[in-house]
Amino acid sequence: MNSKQINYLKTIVDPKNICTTKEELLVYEYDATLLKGAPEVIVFPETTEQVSRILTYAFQENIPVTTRGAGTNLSGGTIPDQGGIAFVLTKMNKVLEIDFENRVVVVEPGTINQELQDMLTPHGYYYPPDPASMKACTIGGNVGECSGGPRCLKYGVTRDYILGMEMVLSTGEVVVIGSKQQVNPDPLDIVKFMVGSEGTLGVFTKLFLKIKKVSEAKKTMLCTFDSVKDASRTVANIVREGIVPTTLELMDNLLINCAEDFIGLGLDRTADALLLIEVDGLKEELDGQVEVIKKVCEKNNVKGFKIAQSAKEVDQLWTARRTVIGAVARKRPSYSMQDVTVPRNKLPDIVEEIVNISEKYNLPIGVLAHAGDGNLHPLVLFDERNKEEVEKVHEAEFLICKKALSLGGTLSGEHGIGLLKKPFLDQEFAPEVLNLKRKIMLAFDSKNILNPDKILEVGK
Amino acid sequence: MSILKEGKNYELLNTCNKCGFCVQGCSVYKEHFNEAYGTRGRIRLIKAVANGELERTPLYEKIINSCLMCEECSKNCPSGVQGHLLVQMAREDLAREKGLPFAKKFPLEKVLPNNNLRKLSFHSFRLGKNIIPQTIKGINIKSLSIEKVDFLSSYKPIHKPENPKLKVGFFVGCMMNHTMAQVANSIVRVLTKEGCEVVVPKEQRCCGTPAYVYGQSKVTRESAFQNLEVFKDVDVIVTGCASCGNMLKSYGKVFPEDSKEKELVEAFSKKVRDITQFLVDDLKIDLDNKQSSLKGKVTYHDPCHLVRGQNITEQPRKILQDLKGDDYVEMPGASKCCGASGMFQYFYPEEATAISNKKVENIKKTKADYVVTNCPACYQRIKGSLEINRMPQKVMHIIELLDSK
Amino acid sequence: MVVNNIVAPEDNKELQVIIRKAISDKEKLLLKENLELNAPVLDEKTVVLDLVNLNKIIELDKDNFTVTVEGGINFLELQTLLAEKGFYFPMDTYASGHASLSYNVLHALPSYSLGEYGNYREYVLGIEAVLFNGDLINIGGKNIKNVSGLDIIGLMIGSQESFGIINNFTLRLLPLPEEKQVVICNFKDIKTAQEAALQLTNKGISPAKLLVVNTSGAQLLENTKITKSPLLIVELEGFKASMQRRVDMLQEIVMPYGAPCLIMTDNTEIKEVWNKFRENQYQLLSKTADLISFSGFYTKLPEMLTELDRELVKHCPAFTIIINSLIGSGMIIPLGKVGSDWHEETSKIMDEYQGKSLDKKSFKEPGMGIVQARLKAAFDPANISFFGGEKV
Repeated sequence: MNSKQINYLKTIVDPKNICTTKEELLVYEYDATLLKGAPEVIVFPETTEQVSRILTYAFQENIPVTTRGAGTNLSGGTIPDQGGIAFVLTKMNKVLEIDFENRVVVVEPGTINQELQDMLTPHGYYYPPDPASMKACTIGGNVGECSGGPRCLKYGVTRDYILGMEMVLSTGEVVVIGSKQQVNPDPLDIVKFMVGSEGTLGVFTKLFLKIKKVSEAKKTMLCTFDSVKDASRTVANIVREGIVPTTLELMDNLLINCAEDFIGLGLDRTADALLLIEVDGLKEELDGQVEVIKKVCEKNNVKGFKIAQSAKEVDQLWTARRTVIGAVARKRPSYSMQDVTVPRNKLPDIVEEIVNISEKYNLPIGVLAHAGDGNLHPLVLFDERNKEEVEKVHEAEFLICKKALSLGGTLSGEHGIGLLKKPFLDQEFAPEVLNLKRKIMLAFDSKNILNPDKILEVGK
Repeated sequence: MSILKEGKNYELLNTCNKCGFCVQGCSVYKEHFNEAYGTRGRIRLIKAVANGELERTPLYEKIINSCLMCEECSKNCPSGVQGHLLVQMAREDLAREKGLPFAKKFPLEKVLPNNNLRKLSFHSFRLGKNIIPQTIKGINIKSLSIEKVDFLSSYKPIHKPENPKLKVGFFVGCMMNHTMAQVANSIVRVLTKEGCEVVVPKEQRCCGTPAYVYGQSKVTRESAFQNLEVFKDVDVIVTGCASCGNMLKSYGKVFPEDSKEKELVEAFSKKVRDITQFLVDDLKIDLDNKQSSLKGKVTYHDPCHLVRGQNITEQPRKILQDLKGDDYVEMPGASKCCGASGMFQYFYPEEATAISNKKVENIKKTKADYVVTNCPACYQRIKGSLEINRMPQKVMHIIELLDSK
Repeated sequence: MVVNNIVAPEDNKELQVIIRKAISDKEKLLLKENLELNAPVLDEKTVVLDLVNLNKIIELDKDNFTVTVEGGINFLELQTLLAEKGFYFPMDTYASGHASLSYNVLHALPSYSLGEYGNYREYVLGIEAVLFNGDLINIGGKNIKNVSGLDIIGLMIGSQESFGIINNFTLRLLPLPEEKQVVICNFKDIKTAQEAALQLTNKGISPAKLLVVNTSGAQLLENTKITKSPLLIVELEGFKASMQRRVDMLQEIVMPYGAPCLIMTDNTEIKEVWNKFRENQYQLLSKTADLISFSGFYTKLPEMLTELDRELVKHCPAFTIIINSLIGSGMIIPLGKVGSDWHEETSKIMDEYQGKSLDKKSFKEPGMGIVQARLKAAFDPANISFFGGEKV
């Protein structure tokens, strides 16, 4: 970008919201992956009008625009690898409307997930999508990636909670799709299609979210096993018994130990696998479900079965679960995480393959899984500075992806494709599907300026 | 070679996996919403300097110095990255490679560690403060009362109890010494009443926090040796200042690994207690039968260097909840920084004022009559900010509740 | 009307051949179900697709709780088959008994239990479809979570046959609830019925279905035990352990309204009630072109309904109102000839209460129109969709 272009941007937003210093460009070249790519300018819009005017200009000048929230992305989707504008929406962070009776909330995209939850909790409501990074990530980012979280098994993903949005198209035109009501008035469900579009189709400026009432009661169980197989069989059996828990989370031995190092809850460090199971509903329903789950666990050789006794204990268990991803970095300096998803009953197979791959490449790999929905987070531990090791990590991850696909799985359950999984996409989709996706992207963004060539290569 | 490149330091820099969990906890980021002013961004920049990608530019310096050292990021980091230590390291590097500006260098190196010069400068400030504006850069100068004669100079030992339980050394700290002599006196009285022999060495020196956080560990090391010496005969060292306590307890970190000195100061550190910790955990004082000196609603502000620096949250709350006569109410965001952070409030007035105003808002929500805290810096900052915002709440040091004369 | 060109493909390849032929011969395509529900005007260039032969259950995966079925299977038949095996596919529409799975999904017909169980996208995990560009595509699988690239499945759901025909589905299933009860309460007017419904949605009772109908809507139940008046119809399902309390909570809410309740606990009876209701609603809908679908805010619905009920009589002597209170959406079905300003009057009232008409109309914004036209071109470049002429 030339200085004329940057000066023009300064006529649209307050010059303090335009950054071009080397220091600032350096801190917008990354997200939570190991990938990098620096923008040429960082723009912090504060209003829909500014978003619109900037896109109008970018469209006219063919400038790449990479929209970004808190930069906690796990697929390289927010990396401005083609330069241009890093479009940072963190200053558009107001909660505009909370309507408990109609169960709708209107937020700006930069709102932090946890901060919204904190406003809802005292009133007995919540917004169900709860990605592990909820303390740090923005709702706009959640919508862009269709974030999941532990609660998805029962309550669904971000897509199921987006009623509508105000969005700016690549041309700068502002449109409102969906509505604040529970039903989308438009015949074609463009709203849901926008969820998970990874910033390639439009820039969200207001989001209409559906909220839910908190269940009357819940019970949290902690079960340990001597083998991952037993644990994953337990998962499949529980659902078979007619119970859909809110969460069914699995951690392997490596992760149990990492969590223990960070939080120190007295988890069984010798266990091969741990299941964190939560059921909710009306209070009379829970004891029966816990009983059934306990029986299923026993049938599958459970080692320890414990019901959390206090709200504090439950909180600690969840803190351990939410932070364990980062906690692995205590073992090795760097980690890389995939989010392949397989049909639930294929969990033992993929875990077995991961163990093999780990041995073959001599890389520690921890397994964390939203086991109820087959969504796995294999965490490969290494040192980013060791080039040879990095190569091995790439190979190992490619093999994990391939295996997941061969088991009828998919590349991404909740992190998106971004840059990280882009090279694998043709393993999952036929050329006609990729072609179709390309055409759809161009239908929205004819000049391919919005997060260009993320998900797949679009070209102009 | 820059210290940033040194073995262990460089390793520390490379443990950050950029998950971003630190950013939202960072009060300064919350004023900028710009990654550069959050921990993850700062770490990236320190790494860039270490790798030679970036010069130590004025903007870099501004960003590195914009850290409150509140330790929120370090507590939030699942990977165990100690963001505040990395920032301290970067400041140490800046001080060595570029030197500190006079406005920092002179007070940090010359005034604070020198008891006489320090007295002189507080004294001059007291005389001068009536002729300068009442607020400077959002700092309420008017509300800051400076003792005519500082506590250490005026202190006269009181009778020790018979058969004292313990010999307690009282570490006053500069801020308390010069601005809150009544609180210092309260501490001595309460400890004595609880059966301790209190000694107050006059030659105790600044704990070294200000020098340390701006990268002058050398000065801190000298302080450490001096304090080690003057407190060598006591069983316990008690302080009523969160920052002093935090520093005294972690002197080890300013000495090289496996050094003889490190061992010595660590033994000293083991004897250091915050006043609330000492009363509740060591003396297990009987709170149930004690009357608070306050009536009405009280709330509590957690000083950063107590809640995160020393993991002390329960003890002060226990005192407030168990004492009779007052009504304790928890403040939302009680553990968020008040915005003082030593010299930060002077060099970053916009951020500091905004951060303090959030604290004021939270105090307002509690409808409390009193705000109790445990650190002279927080005390003064909150007091000043409440006055600027024309709020009626009174700020108290926690010991004042126990000292019902 | 010419209906001589009905084709019933045997498999996906045949479907592809039919679609490719339509492309080269410039024919228009539509699903057979439209003949009853949408009264289209056909000509000799129109091909009517009947998916009746694509009705096989390919795999019931008991471990993963998924079923893979062909799209022509009758919706109700599929649910009955699954229930026998202890599985539950919780979508239920007025066309369940008549229309294929493909039709229901492609038109996203509103499920009565949409509020509790969510929409089709949560249950359609994988599809095989023949697009109107002639491509046979296969996306998704048995994974509950899938965000690998753009959500084509989501785009096809509700696309109203403008992009292609889904011929094969992998659906997510739930465990069959332990127990079901239906409670039907008589109200003096539709306003209070809706007020009670609103309270119910906020009580944590989580009904599976929560409908409000006017007196004419009560006829749809064809049940002699039920007094004809505005009704609140609640279906509760779930664990036995909490059922009694949920019913008690419900009764506590309706009590102040003096609304008598009829409680049904027998599964056969419950099934019968819904069969009647569904069937009668379908018959009503297949006879009218003047249906109005709408949605509204929960809090505004009672007032809005009262006004609609009062004002619309001037434009049509009798009409049925059915509200899905869980999602605040409903329909008004005229039972005779309507006056010329029937639609206009409804819009006026709805606007006043911030209601929205759910007619098949395009987006207002020009940019979105361009996007849609381009989308259409990507899926259906030769414009063979029967509904392609009008905007989606």
